[in-house]
Amino acid sequence: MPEALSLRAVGLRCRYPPATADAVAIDDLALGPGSTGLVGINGAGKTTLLLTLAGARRPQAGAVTLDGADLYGPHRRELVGRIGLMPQSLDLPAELRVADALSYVGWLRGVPRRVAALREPELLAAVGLQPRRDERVGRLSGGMRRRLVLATALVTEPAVLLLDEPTTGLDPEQRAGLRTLLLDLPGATVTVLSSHVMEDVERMTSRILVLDDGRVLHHGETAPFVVEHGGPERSAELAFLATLARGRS
Amino acid sequence: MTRGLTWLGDRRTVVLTLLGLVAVGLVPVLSDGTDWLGSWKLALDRGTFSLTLIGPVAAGVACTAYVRLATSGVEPLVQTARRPWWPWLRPALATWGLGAAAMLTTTLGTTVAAQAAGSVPYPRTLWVLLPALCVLAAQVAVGALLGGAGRRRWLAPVAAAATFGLGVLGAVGVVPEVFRAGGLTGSYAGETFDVTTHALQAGAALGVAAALLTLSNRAAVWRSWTTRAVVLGLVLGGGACYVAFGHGTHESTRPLAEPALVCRGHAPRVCLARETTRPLDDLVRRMQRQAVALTDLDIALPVRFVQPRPGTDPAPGDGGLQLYVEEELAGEVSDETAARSLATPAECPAYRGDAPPPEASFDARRLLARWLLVRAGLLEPGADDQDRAWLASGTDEQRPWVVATYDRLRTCRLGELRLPAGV
Repeated sequence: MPEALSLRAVGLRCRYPPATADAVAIDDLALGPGSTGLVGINGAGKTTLLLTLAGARRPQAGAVTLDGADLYGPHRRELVGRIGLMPQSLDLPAELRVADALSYVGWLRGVPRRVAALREPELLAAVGLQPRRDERVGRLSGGMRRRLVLATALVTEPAVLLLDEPTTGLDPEQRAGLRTLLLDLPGATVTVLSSHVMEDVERMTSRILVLDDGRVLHHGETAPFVVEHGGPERSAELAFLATLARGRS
Repeated sequence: MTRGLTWLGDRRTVVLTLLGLVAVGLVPVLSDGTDWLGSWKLALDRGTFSLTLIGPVAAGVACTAYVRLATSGVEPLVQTARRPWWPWLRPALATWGLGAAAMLTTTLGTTVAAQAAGSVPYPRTLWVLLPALCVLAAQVAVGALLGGAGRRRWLAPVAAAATFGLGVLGAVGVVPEVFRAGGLTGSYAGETFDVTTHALQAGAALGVAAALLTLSNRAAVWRSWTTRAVVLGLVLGGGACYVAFGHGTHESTRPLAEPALVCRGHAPRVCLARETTRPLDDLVRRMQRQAVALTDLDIALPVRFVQPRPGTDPAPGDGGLQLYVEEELAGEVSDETAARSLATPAECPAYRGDAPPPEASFDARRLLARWLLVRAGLLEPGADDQDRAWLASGTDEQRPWVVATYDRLRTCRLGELRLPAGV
């Protein structure tokens, strides 16, 4: 039986010079198959961690490995291609058509034009944008744009999918729609979803990673986390706040 | 839409940008008239001079594109690209392509127009477009740096102004002329573009472009060993070129070792540099009309009248042509120029020496030229002119002075020249 896919960070230290304090300091973190919710307050280091795990930001120290191979090592190109990243905000040119936007990101990520063209209908259908493939990005609603960005994250057929605040800026209906979409996504075996909307994390992930000041306060299964720390209401938000308070005390 | 143009706008915007670049490029080309029609090399120079405004506008366009790119949130995806430097540099390359297309269109227009006006084409000098394209790369890189690093839309006009300012500073000698292309004075008669000067400028411009583009996003450009090697090579080579370019005198043109002449006519035979033959027929016609007065006195004309060329000593026996630069380039010359030229039957060394020739040589040539114009019916002396009486006298009275003066001018015995009595 083949070993399960694993994304791992060891001795990770990320800084933003000239600041000397670490924005992320993680000694050992292993992210296995399934979906993991990455939660933390603003400035906790969520985006920095996701970018580093995506191969988009070289850490000052430590290593990120995918199936044991160093993401920033000699096989970086191949490894990075196996990771899909949905950035927190991606304002593709408003004048681009939906299909062109997808094609552009495919080109960025090194997907051959012919392959990208073959994947396009499937991806647009997966995010519900197939009827709007010739529409300009500037004419899409906020929810549709987030779905388009999600499609761009899937253009490499990634084994690892990193989603940075995918539901930010969406109204409740759009959020629910995107949540459904994410739950039905095929393909990726390791998914990390960063959010400070605890409802999203609780519904969409099986594991939770609480980050504060760049450090891991908790990493475990989501349901027991809510049961153990969420008080009588079994509130995910209370569980998060309690963990935060405990970690800081 | 092609991927290279992604951040420049939609097709309509790109086409309008290109048309705008061509339009602004025509401003410096036409700002000083169309003298360049008379010299293909000058027309080529004026074509590259269009970068004076195309470059700054292209820098502004690049700045806008990079502000859009850098603030779009796409940068993490750029960093995960197989070659991050490539998607990052594509907008600069696309802007450079638009600027290059505008400059080449302008140059095509000027050179074709010059050829149609009668100037002899010199396609072998087209290489001078390459250094100009390197200058454009440096200009665009200014915009890429300000947009990519500054990430503010209002930096676009700053980038344009800074690029224009760098060109001006180069033109006035404050900094080496890395950001300046074309715009030389003169007619290029007997001259060509200097390879060394342009190569140094191109090297320095490429070095500046490489450095600025790297600074615009070090994480993307300074990523692989290959790009580091290329950037280092360009920056170090460019630095060496910059230092060499900034020291000593580097002329953009040099005299041709064997400048070609085009000669026409008989009595007199008139030769102009091959670069500037546009006024030749008109000059021959006017000189022939006035030369009759000399041949009527049995005065032998020089074998030919030749346009002086920089770096070339006149051949013994040749007369000299006295054209103003604008006349070298124009379709017609004045009768005064024809007369002045006929009154110069030899290019005496004293005319070009450090010490000025005797004052009498100027006066004698001036009077001889006026005499030629009067004899040809092209000048009526004024009532107050000191030479009126002598010019109105008969040929018999004038002949001794004219014959002796022409002989002295042809043999360069300038010290023996005298004005007629009473003048």
